[in-house]
Amino acid sequence: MVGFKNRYMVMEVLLDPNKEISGDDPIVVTQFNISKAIKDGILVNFGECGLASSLGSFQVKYVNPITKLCVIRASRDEYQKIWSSISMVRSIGNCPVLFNLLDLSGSIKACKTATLKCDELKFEQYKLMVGACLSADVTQHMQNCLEKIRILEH
Amino acid sequence: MGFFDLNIPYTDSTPLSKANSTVAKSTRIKIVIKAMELGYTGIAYNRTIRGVMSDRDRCSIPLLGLSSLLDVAPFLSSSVNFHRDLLGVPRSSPFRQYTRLTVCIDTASQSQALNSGNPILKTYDIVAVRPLNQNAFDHACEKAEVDIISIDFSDKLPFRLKLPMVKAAIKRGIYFEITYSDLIVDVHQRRQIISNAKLLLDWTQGKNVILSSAAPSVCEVRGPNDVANLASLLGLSMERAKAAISKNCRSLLTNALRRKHFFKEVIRVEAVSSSRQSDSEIPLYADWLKWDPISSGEGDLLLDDMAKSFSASTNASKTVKAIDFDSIIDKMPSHGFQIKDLISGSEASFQPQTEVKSFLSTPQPIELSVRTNQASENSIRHDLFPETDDATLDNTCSEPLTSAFGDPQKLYLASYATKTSTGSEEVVTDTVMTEIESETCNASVAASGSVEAENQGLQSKKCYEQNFVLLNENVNDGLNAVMLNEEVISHQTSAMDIELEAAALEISPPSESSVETIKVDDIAVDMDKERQETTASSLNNMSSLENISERMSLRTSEDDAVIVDQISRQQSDDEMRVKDDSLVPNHENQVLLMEEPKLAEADSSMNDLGSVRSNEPCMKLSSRKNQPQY
Repeated sequence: MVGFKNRYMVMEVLLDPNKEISGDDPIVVTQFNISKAIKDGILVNFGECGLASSLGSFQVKYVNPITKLCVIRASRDEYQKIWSSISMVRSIGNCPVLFNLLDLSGSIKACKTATLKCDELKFEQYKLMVGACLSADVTQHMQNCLEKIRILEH
Repeated sequence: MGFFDLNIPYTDSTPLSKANSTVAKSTRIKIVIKAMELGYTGIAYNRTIRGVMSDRDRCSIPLLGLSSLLDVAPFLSSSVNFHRDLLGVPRSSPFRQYTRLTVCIDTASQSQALNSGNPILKTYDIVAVRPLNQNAFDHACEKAEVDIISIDFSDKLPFRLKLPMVKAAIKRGIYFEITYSDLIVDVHQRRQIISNAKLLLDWTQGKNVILSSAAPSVCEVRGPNDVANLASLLGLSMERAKAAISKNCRSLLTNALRRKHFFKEVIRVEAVSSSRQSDSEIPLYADWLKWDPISSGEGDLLLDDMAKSFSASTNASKTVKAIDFDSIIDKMPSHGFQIKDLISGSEASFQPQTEVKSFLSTPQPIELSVRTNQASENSIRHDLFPETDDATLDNTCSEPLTSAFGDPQKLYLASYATKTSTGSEEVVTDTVMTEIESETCNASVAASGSVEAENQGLQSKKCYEQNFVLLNENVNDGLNAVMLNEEVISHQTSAMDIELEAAALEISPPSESSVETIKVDDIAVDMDKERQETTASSLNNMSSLENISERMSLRTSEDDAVIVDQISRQQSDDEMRVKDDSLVPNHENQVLLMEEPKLAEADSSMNDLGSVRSNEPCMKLSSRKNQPQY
């Protein structure tokens, strides 16, 4: 039996809540810049030791730039600290952001089902917002992302 | 369980800075939209004043309507539904807006103003106090009549929190508020807040603590789960933190609104709208079932409307709107109400077209109706609307509700029939309707007749009880209606139940015509006692017994002076539920007359039911023609 337990958090990134609703995004969320923003947050709030103890299991497993969904893994001991730091993240680069937790699960399997569900629902909303100018490669990109979810592993 | 954010700062726009006011308004709209999207079900606009209150400080916070929100965020509904599903909040629960005032207190004289007699405080839904020194804090904990004590933790505290004070405040039902947006905004403030608030949370263990943002802009609002997690930084367990943004807020709102809307904590007065469709099939009382204890009146945004059209404004909300009691209290004569006062029609504080219902008995505990129950054995339980006391009825009847009632109010009555487990049956039917309802009444009467027809033979003794509830309807005057829902359960030895829902309305508006006093008689009192001896314990019909002992003397109005008592009849039957809307003749005596022949014909056997059934429609029709001979 695996003695090491993780927590998988499904979060959505809300970019620039102050801006009016428009189609294009100020920045593209990637694994790298989310990870960097969170690590900076942990450093400020919990210091060097806090960052070091969280870093062992901390990883941004999946990011969908279209629907702004991300899956973050953390150890079970440290996940609350990491979650608080994520909530206190104010900006990624120059763009003010807002993180909102959608789902918290203990196994990768439950996380995968939750992510699939949230991703599809968010894509429906995205299609509503974009309206007519839905391009084919966006849809293709979306399918790739859904595939990535299915092959996620711990 | 909904989530609430009870501190959204509102700055009243001074006429000097027009630009600021538009910016502030758009910020407010954005915050509200973000809160709705994140899954909150209620927010409160917080206005802060300092020092002495003046009359200018009356509540003037405009509540936002759905159309203004949809202008900014047209795809609001899909996002809201998505988040609500994730949080487990029902999709159709309305989004509520409340108004809140925070008074900063530093001298004793200012503290004295915070009592329940202050009229300015009454214009806000929630009242909070922010003490600035030790005396103010002590006074706030022990004596001030407020809902929330809000302490600014982001700087060094000017006073010490003392455990006995905190305990006293909790005992009085005051909530402490911790705002979390400063945690997000500034690093130095983070330090202060955590160290200051930790003490409070250690002492209270999360009891009577609410969490809220005091978000200066939309970037500082966080979702309910995230807020609960931030509270765990302060030492709360996750469960208590979640309660702090949901359950505690909800009980706070219930208390605050009760203080605001209820007269002496008991009676809630609402006006019945005259705009109800006259051919609506839904009985009036069905709306009362949806009585909303934390409704904020017109602040509630029903989100179903969003799905229908993006640009629709909120439909005529079906939620009941409570009367601002203070404005009415001022108009009440000191000697109490007389019916003749109502004839002149008093003004109401709300628009005539708002749909409101008046039911007086709802806030009263169910035990009130039990009081009238003469049968100790019969555990008659009134479903939702226990009958009010005679005294309260008189008071409430005379309270003016609206000044303009265009259409005659419809009174729907459904009849309840309850049976005891031993098989004795009670049927309570209330019949009072305006003539408009004649068709529906006939149909329902026929339906009830058919129900009775299906009743099987009754072996046990039957007794008929008739209760009449007087109804008096006045088109032009305020209307108080008390609906009684009675369940009649009948079952034979096989314990089958029939349920006939009966609602009785009592209305006492005066009318232009001659005033006559109608007294209600209890025919069924003797029968009731007789029945009680034989009935078993599982009887559910409080209202019938309530009506038995209830006496009402009303003055009839020109149009319909109707006195309706609840009629209870015992029958045994299969389990059925029939809603009975029956017409009531204009005169009370007709109803009595109608019932008397029915009683006279009834045997003690089951066949009475059949005869009753067949006679009932006829009796109802004929009763209208009869002259009162009472």
